[in-house]
Amino acid sequence: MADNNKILRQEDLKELAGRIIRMLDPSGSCAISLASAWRTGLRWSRNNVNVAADQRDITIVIQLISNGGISTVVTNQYDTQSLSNAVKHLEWKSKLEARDPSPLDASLHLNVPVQPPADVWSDNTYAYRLEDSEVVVDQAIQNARNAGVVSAGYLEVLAGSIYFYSNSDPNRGLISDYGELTKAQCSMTVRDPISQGSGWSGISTWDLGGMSQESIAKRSLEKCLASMNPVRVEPGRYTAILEPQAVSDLVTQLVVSSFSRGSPEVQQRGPFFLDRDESLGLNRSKLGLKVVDERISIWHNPSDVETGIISPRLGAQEVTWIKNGILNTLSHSDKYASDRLGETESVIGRISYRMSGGNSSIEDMISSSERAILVTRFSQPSMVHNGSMMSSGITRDGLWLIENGKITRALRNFRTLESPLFMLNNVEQLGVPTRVFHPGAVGHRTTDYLRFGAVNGLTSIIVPPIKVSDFTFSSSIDAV
Amino acid sequence: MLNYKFLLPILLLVTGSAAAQSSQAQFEVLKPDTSLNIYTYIDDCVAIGQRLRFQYRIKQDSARYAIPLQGHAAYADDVSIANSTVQKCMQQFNGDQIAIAPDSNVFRFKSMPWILGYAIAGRYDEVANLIAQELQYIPVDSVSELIAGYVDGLSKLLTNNIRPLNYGIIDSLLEPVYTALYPRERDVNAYASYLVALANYMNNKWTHWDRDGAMALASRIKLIVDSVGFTEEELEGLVGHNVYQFPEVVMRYNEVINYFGQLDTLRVNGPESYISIRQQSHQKALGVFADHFPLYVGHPAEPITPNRFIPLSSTSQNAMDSVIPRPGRMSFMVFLRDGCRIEGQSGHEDMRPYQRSQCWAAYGVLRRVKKAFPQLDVTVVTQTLGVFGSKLMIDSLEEIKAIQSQWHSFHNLPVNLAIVYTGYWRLPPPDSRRIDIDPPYVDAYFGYPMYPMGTPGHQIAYVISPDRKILSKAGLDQYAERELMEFLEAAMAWYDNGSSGPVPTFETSALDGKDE
Repeated sequence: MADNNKILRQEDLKELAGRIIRMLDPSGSCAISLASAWRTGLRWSRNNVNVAADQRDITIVIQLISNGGISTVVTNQYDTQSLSNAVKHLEWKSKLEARDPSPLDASLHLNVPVQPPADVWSDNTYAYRLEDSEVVVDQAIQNARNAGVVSAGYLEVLAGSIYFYSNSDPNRGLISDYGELTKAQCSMTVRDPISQGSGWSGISTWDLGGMSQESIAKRSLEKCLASMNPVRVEPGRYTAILEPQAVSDLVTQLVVSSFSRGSPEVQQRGPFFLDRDESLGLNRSKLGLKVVDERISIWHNPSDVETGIISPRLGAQEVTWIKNGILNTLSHSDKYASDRLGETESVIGRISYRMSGGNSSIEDMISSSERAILVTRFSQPSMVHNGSMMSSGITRDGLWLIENGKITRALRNFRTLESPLFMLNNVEQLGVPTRVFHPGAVGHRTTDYLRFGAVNGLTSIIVPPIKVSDFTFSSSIDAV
Repeated sequence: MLNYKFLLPILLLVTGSAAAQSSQAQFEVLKPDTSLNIYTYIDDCVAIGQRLRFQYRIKQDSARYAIPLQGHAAYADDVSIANSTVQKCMQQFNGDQIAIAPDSNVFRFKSMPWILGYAIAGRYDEVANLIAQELQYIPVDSVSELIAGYVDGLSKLLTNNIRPLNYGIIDSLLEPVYTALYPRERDVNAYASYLVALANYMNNKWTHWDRDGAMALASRIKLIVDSVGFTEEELEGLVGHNVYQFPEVVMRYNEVINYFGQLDTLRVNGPESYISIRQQSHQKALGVFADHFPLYVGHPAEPITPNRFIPLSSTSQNAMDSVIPRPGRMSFMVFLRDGCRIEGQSGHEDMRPYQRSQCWAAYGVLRRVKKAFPQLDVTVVTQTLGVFGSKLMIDSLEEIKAIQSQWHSFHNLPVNLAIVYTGYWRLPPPDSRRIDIDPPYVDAYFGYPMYPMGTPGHQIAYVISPDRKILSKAGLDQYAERELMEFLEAAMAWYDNGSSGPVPTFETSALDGKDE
């Protein structure tokens, strides 16, 4: 039976906001943020399904601006009595929050949307039922059993909506925004503890139609079987063919931690710090300078539904971090914008990004390699040196040696020591960008995930496979 | 780790009656005197009591405004008594609840809950008595520990001083105590803050080791041996890494090492030894740049035509052109570089603590200077920056209005304001940063390298004679205040005598006859 009330949609949230507004002092300034979410999923391990969940929740955040102070109340109860109590509590808090009169109005410090939120919605995803995955997961588990290996994984589908209302901005008047999204993600690992083989596959997407659970199961099993009985080769610098997931594991570090003006221009640190300019008394960054291969661009466009994020509170700007190898933009805060740039708009850092690619397939890269290593992904890459972004991690879930244009054997895993910047300066071939698995930081409440996790959680990363030279595999390890 | 073994006795001259008399000024709205930084913690508490008394509310989730009650309660002998006392006091105000925030300050007063309670109840004589009792037990080494933990922000003593709606009661209560403790507590506080300031100064582009090193080293020795009583070894671990390493860095400079060997009286204790140290270190350091010190004394003060001059008597913003310093009167001119305009405004959380503390300390000094010498023409010269708080100021007139609001209305400072527009240019895109062009007064008045009083900062004060000659110059901070006051006293006496006789100088006032 179709369940069409998994979340509150636009009309429901508008009606709810209207009820709250009517309870508030009509002469006051307020901001209301409503988030409704539904999340369902399956988890399985050691060839047995052990979790089947369905969660639904709502978060109501009401902010009142009074006497220069901002007070906030949060609840997930929206019956009239509960809302009334929340509003009463808010009004009591607003008296506590009162500050001294200030020449600057507190409303300037309330985050309000700059542009309407992007919608990333799929009816197909919203219509998903757990029962839809029964056959697929059962079959995946059965296949693993038949092959004598064990599988584990999870499948998660969520949908959410956000409504934002504010009458607190004197410059922009009444603001009312609505956005909704869906997301689906699946990750599956198949391992053979005896022969020390491991395979993995996964994807995050907003449209369930674009995610084939069967192919994920098939690919992870194939990778596991192909990675059995690995052999050791000497550590060193090899040409490496990195699958998109491996590229994402390294490049995401660059996007997350380095695209900020504060590091080079205030703290004199990070890979994009150029030098101290004593004549001007300030620190120069590498903005405008070539930092990676000219075939590389990294950007985020909120109108691109594949990478778009939904977050009224964060606004939505198109930003190109690296354009044709040149460092084009770094994020900065409102304070930095007003103090250093004489502007009002901040540039907000985002994890979600798209990276330019080429036309080569992984098969092309393999066939053109005399001796190289094919990498599925990395485990826990961590930065060991901020200035160079040198990161240490280990390969996992499939590593193969390529000789004379063919995959010849499975390899034992390596510890790697490499910088994404060095890597992007040694590019030989680029493949077609594809969506990768990026679960993000999911909080314990789905509505928090919606409200605050837009940067960390509801992200899409689209990167190409890359063939790079001189990738450093620093030591052989026993981990599988 | 606190070390009480060097605890020294303190003589207190505060009596209950004196405090009660001073508390009569409780309803006179004055602005805080922040040079009394060592008592900031008490100030916060009393200020919050005041807020409750005047029906203001306390910000609930901010440690800055909330009462750090938990820490005090945990430190009190009997927590339940402390809490019940406070709660009783609270009940007088219709059961309003009080916000409690975690306390990270090391500097604690056992009886703070009672101080708070009495403050709320309006019993200021009891507040004064309790404060007086507490001050007997301030271990000097706790001051060091506070500083050690907050090297980057001058010190906790100097930075925890946001005191909205803080009335004159606090100053009037503490002034006698402050005066009584002056020879020791205030000096220690000054030394300590000076030391930390210099530690922060290490990586500053204006650092001149050959000039400042000797003074820094002297201050450290003074702090350790004479005032605090620590040996160097005991200081290690207590004081922050930068502070401890600082002298070692200094000593790499041969000039300083050479001169240090000659500073014999640094190790001699005495009530005026700080001045002696300063004078000696100055003179020794001046051996390298002998010409710098007398450069400005007696030189004509560069006339400035501000874009806006707002006299103290004005109640509204006036576009009145005036050339300053104004002739025919003794002038005390404070020049600000980058302004002092963020604290107390929205967005001030972004300001670095030591910047805030510099400004607040200067406000206290300014207020006392004007109070002591009402006929002195005190003018603050500042510049527009295109931003105020965190708000972009496209319109310079709007920014001027905000500056005036801050100095005259918010801080209630008794000064004339002279505001100069700041031009700028931009780095080419994609950097696009705005590069301010220093107004002419920065070149004219920030160029002299030597400070006879105080330390360099983004604010500097000049004493200027009626015929626009520079008499002296000072950094506006609490440890320069005594010398500044003495100098101003001599200068005003000279002025009152019709500017006859020898022109007062730094050497002939504060330091004259006080050297060894």
